[in-house]
Amino acid sequence: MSQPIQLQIRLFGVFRKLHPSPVALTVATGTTVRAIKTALGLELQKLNGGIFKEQDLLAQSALATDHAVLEDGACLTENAQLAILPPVCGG
Amino acid sequence: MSGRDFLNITANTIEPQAAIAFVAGATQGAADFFIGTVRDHNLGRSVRGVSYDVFEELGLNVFKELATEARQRWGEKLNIYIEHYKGRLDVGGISILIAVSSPHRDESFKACRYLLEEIKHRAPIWKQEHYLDGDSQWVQGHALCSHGPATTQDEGHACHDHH
Repeated sequence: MSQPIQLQIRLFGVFRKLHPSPVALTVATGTTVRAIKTALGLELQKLNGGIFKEQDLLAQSALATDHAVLEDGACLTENAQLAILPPVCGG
Repeated sequence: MSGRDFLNITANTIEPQAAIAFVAGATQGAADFFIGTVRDHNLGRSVRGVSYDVFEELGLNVFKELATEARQRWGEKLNIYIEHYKGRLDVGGISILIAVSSPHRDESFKACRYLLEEIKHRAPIWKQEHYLDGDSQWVQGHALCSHGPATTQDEGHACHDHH
């Protein structure tokens, strides 16, 4: 059986309104980025009293470390600090 | 000898004079500058300011990648200055400044444009517009992915920027 790993996920842009601090998730070792995004959506829904209207936005968003954006098919195998990044618009 | 970089995200006022001084050099016969400022309207709405949210750690890494890519395309001698604002700005405030110098003009023109377009597509930065009617709204943007340069200017995306 896979050992759990602990994730801290920082929120940026439009996601900031959903929670004032990083969201903690516990998932199985080897969980894909895609599955982590799904778990994050469920957690944000729970944190917002069952209301989560940003499902489409979450699908368009990327998970990243401090160094790189992660592919949806990548697997995480150790504890990590991540960030959920909605579509960007710098400049 | 390779050129030098200044890559920064700041909550202080962006000063163009600092960029001019940084990229100048005896070997550099040309310098190109882009200054982005907050516009007073967008999509038919009157704007009074914009808040910029930035993932600083990743943002600086992206700036570094872009500087490397620019040198690969337009030569090692480029001096590159990229500074982006973080926080709230009123109309007219400088949100981004890019300066590039090179021995000849063509390289600095092209590299400056490249850096700006790639930042819009790849840097983890978000804008929240504040309107005169008191409403605020996050601006739609470009979805990030884990590959490299955007390479083309994809007008299909819905980023209604301020420049």
